[in-house]
Amino acid sequence: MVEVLSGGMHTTIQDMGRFGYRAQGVPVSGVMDRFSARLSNKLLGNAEGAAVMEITHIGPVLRFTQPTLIAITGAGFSPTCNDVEIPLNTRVLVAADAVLKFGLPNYGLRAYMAVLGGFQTEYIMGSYSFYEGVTQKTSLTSGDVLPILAIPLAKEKTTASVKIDRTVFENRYLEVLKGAEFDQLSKSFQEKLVRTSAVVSSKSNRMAYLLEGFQGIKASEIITAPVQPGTVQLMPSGHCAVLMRDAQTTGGYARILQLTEGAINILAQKRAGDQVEFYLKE
Amino acid sequence: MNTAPDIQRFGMHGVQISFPSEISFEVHRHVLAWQEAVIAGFSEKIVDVVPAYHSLAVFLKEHVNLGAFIDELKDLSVSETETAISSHCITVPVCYDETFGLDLKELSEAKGISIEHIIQKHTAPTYQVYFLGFLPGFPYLGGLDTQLSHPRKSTSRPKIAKGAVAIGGSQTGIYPMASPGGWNILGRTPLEMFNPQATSPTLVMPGDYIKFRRISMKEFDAIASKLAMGTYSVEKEVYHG
Repeated sequence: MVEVLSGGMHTTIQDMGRFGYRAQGVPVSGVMDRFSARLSNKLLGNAEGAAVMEITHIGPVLRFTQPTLIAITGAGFSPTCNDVEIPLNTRVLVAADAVLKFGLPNYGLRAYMAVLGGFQTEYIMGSYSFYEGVTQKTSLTSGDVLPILAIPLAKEKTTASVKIDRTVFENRYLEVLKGAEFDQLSKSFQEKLVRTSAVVSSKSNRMAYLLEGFQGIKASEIITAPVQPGTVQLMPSGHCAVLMRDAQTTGGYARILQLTEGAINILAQKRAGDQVEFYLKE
Repeated sequence: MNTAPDIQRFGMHGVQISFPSEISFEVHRHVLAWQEAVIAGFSEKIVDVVPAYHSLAVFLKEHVNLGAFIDELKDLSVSETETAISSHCITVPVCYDETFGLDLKELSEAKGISIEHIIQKHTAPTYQVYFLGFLPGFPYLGGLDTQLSHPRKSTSRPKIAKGAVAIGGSQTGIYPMASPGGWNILGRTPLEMFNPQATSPTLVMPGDYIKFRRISMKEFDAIASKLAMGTYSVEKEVYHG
């Protein structure tokens, strides 16, 4: 088991998402940065959909009651195990009673920690992903106990690791497709959208990232229609809301652009104050 | 009317099927017929089908070729009259006591209609569930008496109670869980609109119908305790709108 000694800022359990319930208004949820999360599972040989821990900005403090293998990917935290620094993007053996700390990231925002076999927390409506109103927990707090599998560990040295191209975290360009209402924008608004250096607002969260700096761009509201993670909505304020994994399933604002899967992963690692720019995929 | 819908790519791995841009039962019937046809014809290729007022989104499994799927949809012939959509009418008991109906008084003053009349007008229609969205299990209902139509509040409440029955513009709906919101609150139902533990997590589905039945505070408490004990059965009947 993994005991939570301190929850950190917003630590959750996520998998690749909850599918099959969007017609009932249930968001997809799941890991914000699929690229990093997939990698953490891959390093351990887990199934792609194994539940991982998503760690946001301020990491948790955890105690392992049993030995297991872990892999931490994503944002540049400096994790320690019993106060000894451990590497990122590497398979690491932790002993029983080990205490794991994360501290703060020096690049990126979200890290992923996989454990061997995946976290065995509440599985509901086809997913482990935390979501208010669906799962009992919405974020981890001290005192929580997370079951993990007891898998006999091989004696061999565990050295699997990968080199990560950090430019993914520095990349400010978000690849987009035209949204359903893109053609309703004037030519000058269309051009302005892709030439603006926008700023990530501090109001951003797992539901949506709010981007500011598109002053003057306007579109009429629409009859409420389906939306999905990555949909860029133009708000009456002139800001753009980029819907993320916990987004509602329908919305009434113009859907001007749609982020590609890779762009959602990049945006998921941005913090308040970071700058981003849209560019149209041809 | 056998309108050919507009079929467009929707994001990286989805398709949007849309009909004339209006809120009407007529247009929505096409949405439901296409939802049914897509689920029946392509269940092994899709992960989610999300209906709304005049459009529906189809989200595909990763291995499905998007271009080929769009071509298949364009060849599909769907007749909304032949589709046998099985709907239910669910009776939703609502207590319109002012302890719950926080905006009844304000609405009555703004409209110049007595609270009694507001309740009568709200319980009279059989509402159609257009679709679910905003929150898990939140029904967008069509059929509100135009006289009850009222703009959303200028400032949202930070917390609207679970079960609140409310009016926002020309729509009426039910909050399935506590949430911030700007709709005008008329009353509260003790029913669970959303239960993630249940085999069918939402009380209603798109295409179903809802009828509000006025109950007293005493009945509200009685139904709530029956629900807690698992002895309450929801009034539900097959309905042909």
